[in-house]
Amino acid sequence: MAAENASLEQLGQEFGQLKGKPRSPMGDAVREFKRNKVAMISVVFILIIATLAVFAPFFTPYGFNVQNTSYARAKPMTPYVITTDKYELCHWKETPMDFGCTVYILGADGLGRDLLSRVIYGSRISLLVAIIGSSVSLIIGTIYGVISGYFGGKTDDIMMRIVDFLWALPVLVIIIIMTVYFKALARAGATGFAGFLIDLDQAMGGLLFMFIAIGALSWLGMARQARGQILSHKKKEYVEAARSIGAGNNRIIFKHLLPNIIGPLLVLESMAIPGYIGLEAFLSFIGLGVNPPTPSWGIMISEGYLGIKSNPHLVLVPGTALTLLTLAFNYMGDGIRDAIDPRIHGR
Amino acid sequence: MSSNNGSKKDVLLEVKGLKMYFPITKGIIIQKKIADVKAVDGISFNIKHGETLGLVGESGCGKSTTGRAILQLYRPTAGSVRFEGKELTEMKGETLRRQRREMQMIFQDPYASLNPRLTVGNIVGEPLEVHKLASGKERQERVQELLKLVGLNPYFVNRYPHEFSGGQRQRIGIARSLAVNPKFIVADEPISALDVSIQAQIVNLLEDLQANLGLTYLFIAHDLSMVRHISDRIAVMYLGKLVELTDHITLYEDPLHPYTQALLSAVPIPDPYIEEKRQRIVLEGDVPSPTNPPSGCNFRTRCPRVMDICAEKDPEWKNMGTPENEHWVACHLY
Repeated sequence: MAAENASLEQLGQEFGQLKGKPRSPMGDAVREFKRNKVAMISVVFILIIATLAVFAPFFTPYGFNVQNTSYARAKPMTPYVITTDKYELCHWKETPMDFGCTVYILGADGLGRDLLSRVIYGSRISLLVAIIGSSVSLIIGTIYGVISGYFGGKTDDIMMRIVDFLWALPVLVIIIIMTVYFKALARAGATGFAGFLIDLDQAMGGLLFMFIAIGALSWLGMARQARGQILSHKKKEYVEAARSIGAGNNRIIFKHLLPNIIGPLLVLESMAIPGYIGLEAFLSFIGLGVNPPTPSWGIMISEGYLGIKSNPHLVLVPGTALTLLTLAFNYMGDGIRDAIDPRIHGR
Repeated sequence: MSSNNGSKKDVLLEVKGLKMYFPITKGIIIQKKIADVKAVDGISFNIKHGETLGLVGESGCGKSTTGRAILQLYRPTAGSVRFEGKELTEMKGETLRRQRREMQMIFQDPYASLNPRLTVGNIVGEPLEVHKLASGKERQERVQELLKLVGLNPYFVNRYPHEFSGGQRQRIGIARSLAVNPKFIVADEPISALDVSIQAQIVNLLEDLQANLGLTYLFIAHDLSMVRHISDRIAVMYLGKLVELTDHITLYEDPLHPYTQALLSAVPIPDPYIEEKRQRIVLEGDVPSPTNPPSGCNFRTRCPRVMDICAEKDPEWKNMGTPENEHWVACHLY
C-alpha cells in the first residue's frame, strides 16, 4: 500500500500537485462572508434580535399589554413617583430609586405600556414576516420558476403569462379591499369558509391577511429570477453532459441546476426581506395589519405619531428598531451577494 | 494508425439521411413555425468498430449538431441512426437511458462541461451512480482507477473543478465519459479550447485509450492537421451536408471536392521552402444562412468551379474510389 501511495505521489508530481485543502465554491463563499465585518455585525445583530424575540418573556420587564395608566407617556430613563392621582418626577437626590420610583427605560406609550417590552415583542412580528415572506417566495417562487424555465415551450409561456397577470394586479389595493371586506364580515358574523378565515385571522392576531398579502407579492419576482437562472444554466455543457450520461430530469434539476442557481436566488431573497418588514409596518400603520393589542412596530408608530411633537419617543423607539433591523438585513444581503458573486471581490 | 489495417471491419454506427432542423417560431402562445434552421440536412456515413472518423468543417456547419443528434441529445428531425443495428432515433425513456452507457461524449469547453459544485469524484462517479454500476467504496475505487487511467492523481477526488487547469479538466471530462465503459465516444472539438502544448497531450491520451480500450471515436474538429493525425477516415462538412468522405491519406493527397481543396490549401506546411510555394485557394463571400440554403449544391455560391447544373440539382453522394477504398464525394464535377 505504501509503495502504491508513493507511486501515486509521483503521478501527482508529474501532473501537477494541488496545494492545500480542497476548496468548495460554497466554502469559499462562507469564508468570504466571514471576512466581511459589516455583514458579520449585521448577522450578530439579527441573531440578538431573534433571541430577544424568541425569549421575549425573559427579557421584557413587563408584558406587552400590561397597562399602568398612571405612567402614560412616561419619558425614557426618567424616574417617576406617583402622588395621589397623578405622577410627578422623582427627585434624584432626595428620593432613592427604590423608594416608589419607577423607571421606564424607553418610556411608556399613551396607555401606559412599557415601550421596551412592546418593541421587543414587536420584533416577533417583523421577524415572522421576514421568515414567512422569504420562505414563501423561495419555495413557491423557485419551484414555479424552475418548472417554467426547465420545461420551457408552452408550459413556460402559460406560467409566465400568469406571473405577468398577477404582477399587473394592484395587489396592495386588493389586499386592502379584502381585509376591509373580511373585517366587515366579521362584524356581521360570517360562517363557512369566510368565517373560518376570519377565525383563523383572529387567532393569529390579524397576521393571516398580512401573510397572504406578503406571500402573494413576494414569489413573483423570485419566480422570474429562478426561471432566468434556469434558462441560462440549462444550455450549459455540464447539463448536457449529465444528460449524455443518462441522468433524468429530477437528477439534473436537483443535483446540477439547483445548486448552481441557488446562490443568486439567496442574494435576491436577502435583499427582499427589508421590503417584507416595511410592508408589514406599512399595513399595520394604516390599520390593516396586526390587531391591537399585539404590538408591531408599524402599529406602535401609528399609535404614537399624533403626539410626535410632545412625545417623540413613542415614534422614535419603534422607528429606530425598524430602521436598524432593515439596515442589518440590507447589509447582510450585500454581504451574501459579495460572497457569492466573485466578480465583486476585492473592489 | 493503430486500427487502419485495411481489413473490412463491422460497422458500429450507421447514419442515414440524418436531418436536424431547428424551427424558428413566431407568436406568443399560439406559435407558428416560420422557418427552419437546417443545421444538418441529410447526411449519411458509417463508422466501423475501432476506427476514428474525423468530422471537419468551419464554424456553424453543423458538426457539433451531428454529434449531438447521433447521441440523441437532440432528437433528429429525420433519418436513421443505427448503433450495432439498433435504431437510436426510436428509443425513448429508459431504453435510451440504458443505451447511453454504450455511447458517451467529450465536450469542447472543459470549463463549462464540469459542474462547478461537484467534486471530481462525484463528476467522474456520476455515470456509475446513474446506471447503478457501483456505489460506496467500489465506486470510489473505480473513480480513482479512472483518474489514473487519464493521467490524473487519484487523490484529486475531493477537489473541485475550479482548482484544475484546462488540460486537467479535459482529462476529468474524459474520465467521466469512460466511467461506463462505452464503445463509442463523440469527441466534440475536445482540444480546441486548450493550449497547443496541451492539445498534443490530450490527443495522445485519446489515442492510447483507443488502443487499450478498443474505443471508436467520432472526432469533431476544425483543425485539419490534428484531425489528419488522429483520424482513420475524414468527413468534410459544409453547411449541413457532407461534401467528401475518405481515408485520411487520400483526402490530403487527392481531395476531389473544391471545398476540400480550398480548406486544405489553407493548412500551413511546416517547411519554409514548400510553404513559400503553397497556393492558397481563397473562397469568396460568406457561408450562406442555413435557414435559406442555396438551391442545388450548397457550395455553389462560393465555388471557384461552379457550373450551371449546380444551381439546379443537388449533387449526388457517390463513391469515386473502390469498394475497398471508398472515396465519397458530392459534386457535379465527378
